[in-house]
Amino acid sequence: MRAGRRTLLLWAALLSSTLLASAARAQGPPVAACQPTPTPVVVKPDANAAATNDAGGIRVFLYDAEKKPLARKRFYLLRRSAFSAGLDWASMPKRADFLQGASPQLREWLARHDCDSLYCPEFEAEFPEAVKTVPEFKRAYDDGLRKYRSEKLALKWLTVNFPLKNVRTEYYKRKKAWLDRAEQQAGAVVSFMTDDKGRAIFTGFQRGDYYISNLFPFDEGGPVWDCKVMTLPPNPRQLWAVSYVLSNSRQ
Amino acid sequence: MKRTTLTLPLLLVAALAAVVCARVSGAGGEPQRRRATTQRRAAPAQRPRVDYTRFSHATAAHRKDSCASCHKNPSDNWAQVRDASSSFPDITDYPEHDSCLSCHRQQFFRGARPAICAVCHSVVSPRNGARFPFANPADAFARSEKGKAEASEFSINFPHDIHQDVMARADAPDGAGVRFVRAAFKQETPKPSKPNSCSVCHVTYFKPAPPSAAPSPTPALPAGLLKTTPTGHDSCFNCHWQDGGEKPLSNDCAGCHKPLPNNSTRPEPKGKDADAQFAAREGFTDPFVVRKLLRRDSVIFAHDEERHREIDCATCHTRIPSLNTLDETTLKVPILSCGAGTSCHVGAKPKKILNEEVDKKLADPSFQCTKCHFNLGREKPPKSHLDATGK
Ligand code: HEC
Ligand code: HEC
Ligand code: HEC
Ligand code: HEC
Ligand code: HEC
Ligand code: HEC
Repeated sequence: MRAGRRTLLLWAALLSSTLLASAARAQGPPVAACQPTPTPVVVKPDANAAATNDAGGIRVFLYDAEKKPLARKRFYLLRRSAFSAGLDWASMPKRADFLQGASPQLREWLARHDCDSLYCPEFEAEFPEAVKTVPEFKRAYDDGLRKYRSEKLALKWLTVNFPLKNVRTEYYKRKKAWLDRAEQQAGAVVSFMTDDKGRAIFTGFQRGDYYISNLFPFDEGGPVWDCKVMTLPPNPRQLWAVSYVLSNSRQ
Repeated sequence: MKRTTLTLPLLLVAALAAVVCARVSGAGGEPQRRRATTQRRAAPAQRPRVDYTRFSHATAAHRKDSCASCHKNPSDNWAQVRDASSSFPDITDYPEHDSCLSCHRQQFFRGARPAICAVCHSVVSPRNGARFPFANPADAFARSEKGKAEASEFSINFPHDIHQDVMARADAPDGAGVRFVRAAFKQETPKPSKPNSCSVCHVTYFKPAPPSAAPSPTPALPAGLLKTTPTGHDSCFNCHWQDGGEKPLSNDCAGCHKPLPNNSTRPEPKGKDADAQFAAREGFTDPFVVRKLLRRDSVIFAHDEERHREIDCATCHTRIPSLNTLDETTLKVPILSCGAGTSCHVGAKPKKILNEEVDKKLADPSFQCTKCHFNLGREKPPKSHLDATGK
């Protein structure tokens, strides 16, 4: 961090993803841009280290367009740009497709939350109420009560007896399968989760060009970010801090 | 229930005990291996005499069958082993006689006190069904003599990424995106500070007050050092229960319990930064907690320290999606989380503790780093520390 040492600001660069706008994306999710503000954290000018093939490190701060940290979100560090990896955007699952057979009460109940599966922890607190008002939950509860003869267990193990497996986890499973494929196609190096301040550290990867992307929109119709990160510090062991403002493309 | 079928032949055999003298080794299965934690005996040159008091899952014949062919789920006694408020259908007892008899009829009816009974029974008698505590519930077992002497032949497969995603809320309103399902656990510490997520499976462990008020001979470690991890099925079976849950279903034991390589048992950690004596001196008695302590690189680190408490788990545990309980290296907390960026303990200007200790150590190899370490502070600073400080 000392003045006089080599400035490293320029080594992490932005590749505005707007450049990637192309016909291939036509039916895909909106692309969002990234605005990096690099600040080196630990500076270690060491001439011979540059020659070594050491692993590098990078720390990112990710914000949304309102400058709010993207807290606890899953991202991927990719070898290829998400939008040039030929991902099959058309086959991305949609939550609504997994509601076959759901009662209107269940649909209404699920719509109040924004969860990928029935295992969303905030549901749990509402189960005691749901078993009275939502027919599917009532059935699951009665089933459990019959099997375990304990109200507590019938409630705690409610999802085990939930009659619509589709609604329970099918969306999550299809999304995961899609993501697994996408990760492979885009050459995912690591998947990471930001902390509550939108930060993440990576260490121990080969230097070179990388992309950061969420691959799958955080909410329906939301953007997919495609940020190029160039890590070519003179000393690859360097740790960087780079903030990215991830714009919201929908505005 | 099985008493009627078993008692009679047993008594008969007992009466004819004198006749049974020839030890036919190898009958009814392959040699059984010890599963004690101590070193295995060197393979004898001749065909080994089978020790039927020891059961091993690694025996080829035992590997042929599905886990559930021996382990009954739930056990008959599940409702008795835990108190009513925390009990749930579970595997809480040994496999029953049926699961042995199809191959081990011969061993079952050998002599007045057949050796094989001692795998499960504390008293070997045709009339007494008294058994050692079973490995589950793990707490009680770990405190028993048998539990102290033996180590598991399995390690647990718990993929954090899958569970994190399956429970994720699409758009977390308050930064509480990731949560794990509620699990009853030893010591609940209600902590209103951060909306926390991972705390459903991991809570801060506070060791019980020492029985006597005698002052500790060493300066006490900070309180609230460790986080717990699940020790049983209560954190899993609410989703993986067999009649309708997610795969692996509860009777697919091997979906979660992975045999350790080379027929080994789960190694007792030898201790890195702290050893067993250290743990004892500091008053840690819970075997699960001691194991965690011995696995640590930084034994001094306290989760419950005022400022640490305010930091998100994911800030320090940077690799949650790739955490793999089957690979300890993925569980490491990188030294960089101790400060680079937020500069708590790492930084050249102003000089932070890691930089300070590294400088002192490089100047004087006999210097001992004590801020974060106990034993490891005597060693050479590892590469991770030199990199983080730019040395
Ligand atoms: C041939 C019967 C048999 C089969 C098959 C079997 N077990 Fe066991 N298992 C036992 C017996 C007997 C014990 C008790 C051993 C003891 O206490 O010494 C036991 C104990 C255990 C324990 C507690 C002790 C430990 O090592 O942790 C676990 C866990 C376990 N079994 C899991 C499994 C899994 C997983 C499978 C399938 C891969 C399996 N078992 C297959 C008979 C069997
Ligand atoms: C793999 C573990 C295992 C082995 C080996 C084993 N037992 Fe048992 N035994 C059990 C279990 C579990 C029960 C209780 C379940 C039941 O009642 O069927 C039990 C119950 C009993 C009982 C009480 C039956 C009753 O109805 O109360 C007797 C007596 C007994 N065993 C004797 C023996 C003898 C003698 C041997 C050796 C020849 C033996 N057992 C070997 C697991 C074992
Ligand atoms: C300030 C950094 C920091 C924060 C915040 C933090 N941890 Fe840790 N955690 C550590 C360190 C350091 C270790 C010890 C690693 C070692 O020495 O090998 C550890 C170890 C653990 C362990 C293994 C058991 C143990 O205590 O050694 C668990 C489980 C754990 N942490 C869970 C959590 C959870 C859950 C949270 C959030 C509620 C959390 N941690 C927050 C730094 C942190
Ligand atoms: C809130 C519900 C829930 C809880 C609690 C839970 N799981 Fe899971 N688990 C799931 C779901 C959902 C899947 C994914 C199933 C699928 O994809 O078919 C899964 C998958 C798994 C898998 C399979 C992973 C794979 O690669 O296919 C393992 C192993 C597993 N869980 C172990 C555990 C263990 C061990 C525990 C307890 C410490 C546990 N789970 C607790 C919901 C849960
Ligand atoms: C969904 C995952 C899952 C399944 C399925 C499962 N277990 Fe476990 N089991 C666990 C976890 C997690 C623990 C506690 C953590 C540990 O031991 O490290 C545990 C602990 C145990 C223990 C006590 C501690 C030990 O490891 O020795 C026994 C015994 C046991 N299981 C036996 C079984 C048997 C037998 C089956 C099949 C009938 C089974 N389990 C199925 C996840 C599972
Ligand atoms: C701010 C806390 C902190 C300070 C100060 C610190 N360490 Fe560490 N040390 C850690 C952590 C965390 C780890 C494990 C993670 C890692 O190596 O990146 C560790 C790991 C180690 C290891 C084990 C490395 C391995 O790979 O097994 C050694 C040896 C060690 N430290 C020695 C030292 C020495 C010598 C000093 C003083 C110059 C020192 N540490 C100062 C936190 C610290």
